[in-house]
Amino acid sequence: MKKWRNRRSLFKGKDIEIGGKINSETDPLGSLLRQLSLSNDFTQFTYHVNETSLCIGYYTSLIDTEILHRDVLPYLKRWESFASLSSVLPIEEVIITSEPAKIQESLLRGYLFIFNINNLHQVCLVKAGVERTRQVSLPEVEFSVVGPKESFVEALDTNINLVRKRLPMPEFTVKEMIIGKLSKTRVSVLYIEGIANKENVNTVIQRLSDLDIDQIMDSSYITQLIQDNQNSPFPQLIDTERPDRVASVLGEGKVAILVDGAPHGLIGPTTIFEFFYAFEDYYLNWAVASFFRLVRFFAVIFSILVTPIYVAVLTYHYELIPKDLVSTLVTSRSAIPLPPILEAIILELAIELLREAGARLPTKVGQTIGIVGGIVIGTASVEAGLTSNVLLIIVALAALASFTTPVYQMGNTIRLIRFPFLLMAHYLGLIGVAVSFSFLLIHLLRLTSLGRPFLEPFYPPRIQDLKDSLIRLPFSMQSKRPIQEQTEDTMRFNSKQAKEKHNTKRN
Amino acid sequence: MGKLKRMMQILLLSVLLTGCMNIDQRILDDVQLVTGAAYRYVDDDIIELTTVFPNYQPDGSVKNETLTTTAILNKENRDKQSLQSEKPMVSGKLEVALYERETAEKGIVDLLDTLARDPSIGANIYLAILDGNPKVVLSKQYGNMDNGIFLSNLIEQNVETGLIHKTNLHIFKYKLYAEGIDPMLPIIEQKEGKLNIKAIGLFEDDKLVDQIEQEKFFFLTLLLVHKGQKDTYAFKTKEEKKVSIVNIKSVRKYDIPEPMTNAEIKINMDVKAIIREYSDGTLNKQKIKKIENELKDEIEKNSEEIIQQFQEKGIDPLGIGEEVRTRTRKWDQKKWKQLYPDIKITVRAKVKIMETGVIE
Repeated sequence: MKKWRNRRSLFKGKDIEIGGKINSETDPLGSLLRQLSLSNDFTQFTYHVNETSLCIGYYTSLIDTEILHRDVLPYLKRWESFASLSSVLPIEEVIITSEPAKIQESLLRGYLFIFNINNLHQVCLVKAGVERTRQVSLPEVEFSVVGPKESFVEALDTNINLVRKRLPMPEFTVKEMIIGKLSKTRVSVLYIEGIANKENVNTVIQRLSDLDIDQIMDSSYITQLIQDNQNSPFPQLIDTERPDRVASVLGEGKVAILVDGAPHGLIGPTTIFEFFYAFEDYYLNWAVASFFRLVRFFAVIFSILVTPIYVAVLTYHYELIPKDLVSTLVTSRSAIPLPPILEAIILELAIELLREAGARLPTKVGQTIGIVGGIVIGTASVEAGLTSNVLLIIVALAALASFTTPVYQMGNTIRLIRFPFLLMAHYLGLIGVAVSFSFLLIHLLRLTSLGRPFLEPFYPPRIQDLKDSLIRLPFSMQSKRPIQEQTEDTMRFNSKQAKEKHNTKRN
Repeated sequence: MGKLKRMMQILLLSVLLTGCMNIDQRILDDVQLVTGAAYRYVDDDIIELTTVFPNYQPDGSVKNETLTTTAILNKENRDKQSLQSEKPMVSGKLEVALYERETAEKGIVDLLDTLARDPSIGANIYLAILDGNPKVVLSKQYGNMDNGIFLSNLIEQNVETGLIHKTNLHIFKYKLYAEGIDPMLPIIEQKEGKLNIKAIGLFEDDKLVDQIEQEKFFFLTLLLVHKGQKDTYAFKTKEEKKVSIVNIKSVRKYDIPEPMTNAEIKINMDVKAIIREYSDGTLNKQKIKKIENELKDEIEKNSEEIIQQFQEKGIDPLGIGEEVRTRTRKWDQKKWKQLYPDIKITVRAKVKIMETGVIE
């Protein structure tokens, strides 16, 4: 017990904080070098130039050796004095310092150090970092047939580049901060000065800077940590992999968060309806897009309610079944020994198993699982008399409907909240379904996203914002920014001019 | 912390109080769905109940089955039938209730109670009179489905195509209790192994007193509905030519100048019809004019006959009393009953043939 306490104090101790500064007043550089050399990927060697011995050190895993060979070592021959190094080396960032903390931090960011063995008080830091990330590739989660095919990658600077080239304006602001005691993750807050409400920006920045955590591995950590209600199954920040989506919502006055190492950005404040927008909606004609959006909302309601209603009706309300359907339902269920609830839960779980197995396995095996599961298990369970084929169709359709949700996190939520509905349907019948729905509605009414209502524009009613909610009206009618964001500049463009059309007359 | 405590309490309550939620489960395939019921008085006091229910075969076909018991009340009959049944009998999917003819002549209001009081029975079930012994008629299977569904489809289909008037428990009870209107129900018989809507039974209060035969359904429907369509009629002209027409739009209007007196009541009918069959080749304008006139006479003659028949029996299935009641403040049911048989009621029809079809 005591030992354990001691270990804890080791982390909490002021003198040696893991990953923190080293504090040794007698020989700062020497003790730094000793600590660094503990790691095998740290290299240091001595380089002789004109009878001077220069010590060069770096993390081999963090620097580009080509820069070292091409841009540093040849130029060191022209070594005159330490101060002239910055003009000799063809690299923009050459820092001369003597602070051990600064040296350590820079080394970890991909710098190499050079110092004269005879003069330990001046250390030259040269930027030679390498970024090993994958290329910008096709969006996979939010794929669209038309529209840009770029998606975020794991490198923060690339991601900011993807957004900034869509918003070439000085007002587009990036505020960067470091979060995570161990991971020291760079997190950027993106917004457009003069459009985004200061309150939203400050909320995000304040929540981020208040975070006290050791590691940030992905942007989804940030969502879970800073969203308004952390126990809600509903995500309150949208995560997206599309830079065009981020650039577009920044223009609406929203705030985006990008995290180094995460190929997904976060958007807030948002509403529940925004989770059902595919960004492709804006690339299609407004009537087509509106239809697809309505289909998606219908799919969500269908996915949540259809199995519970089946269970409720078959268990309690046989009166509700149309007389032409009775025979189909009874015949399909006559051989089944299980009550409707068990039958439904077995099938729902089977679908969840298939989905989970498909998600965990490599793509090629995953496809096989889909076929095996869909055809073999489906037909076999009907023939074995475990489930009725009517329910099989219903459950399969409900699962399909839940996959139409463009934001992956929300799709998961929808599949999860089906189960309380199912149990309540078995417990109280349709009243149970109604009760669960009321609870769901109350929960959604109470949710906020960065302090802004989650069910807007329906509650509180904002008629103007309906133009881009369940349906998407044409661009010419979207001249005002959403009320939800409380933007500083509410007009996007002049709506009158937008509706005018000028045809050049031919002579 | 307080919030968490309350959550725990609610969770605990819902676990501990499961016994208080004693809701009857009626799983669809574990109940016997009664789809039809037929009532007959075997004695002054003893009711014979025949229930029809489907027996779903594993191959998807449906077998019609019946149970017949006698008791002093209907619900006792149901208990007795449950004693003979594999699954509990439930009445929520009852589609049609039949009353044997003699029973209907005695009055059916007591038998309606069981339908009206049971909340699982809807107000839109069909009522009909059965000419024949229910036990015999219903034990035979008439379609691919059980007889309850078959009968309900039979009535529904004919109501929708406009051959007979709209009828169900709600309408029957409305007409039973409303002042100035009497109920009607279709009479069904078994004829050559088939079920057949033979006539429309006319009630005085809850007793069957008279009937309208198949041939006059057309006129009855015309008289009954304010705006009608789709009903059909075939007749012979004076030149022995046969014509079949379909009513595509008829409007019936009452003209009651002096309500609650024995002044004449006029019923104006505006019928737009098309000819769908004609036995004498092509039609020209004069021929159509002639048919229009003859159809007009036919409608006026038959309608007045029907009304006369009603007046003689002192019944009012058309709801003329109700029409009067809506036009006066001096409504008095007793006085109306005295006035009604002697009022002169005339029918004026306007007929227009809109289309005759093309034959080449």
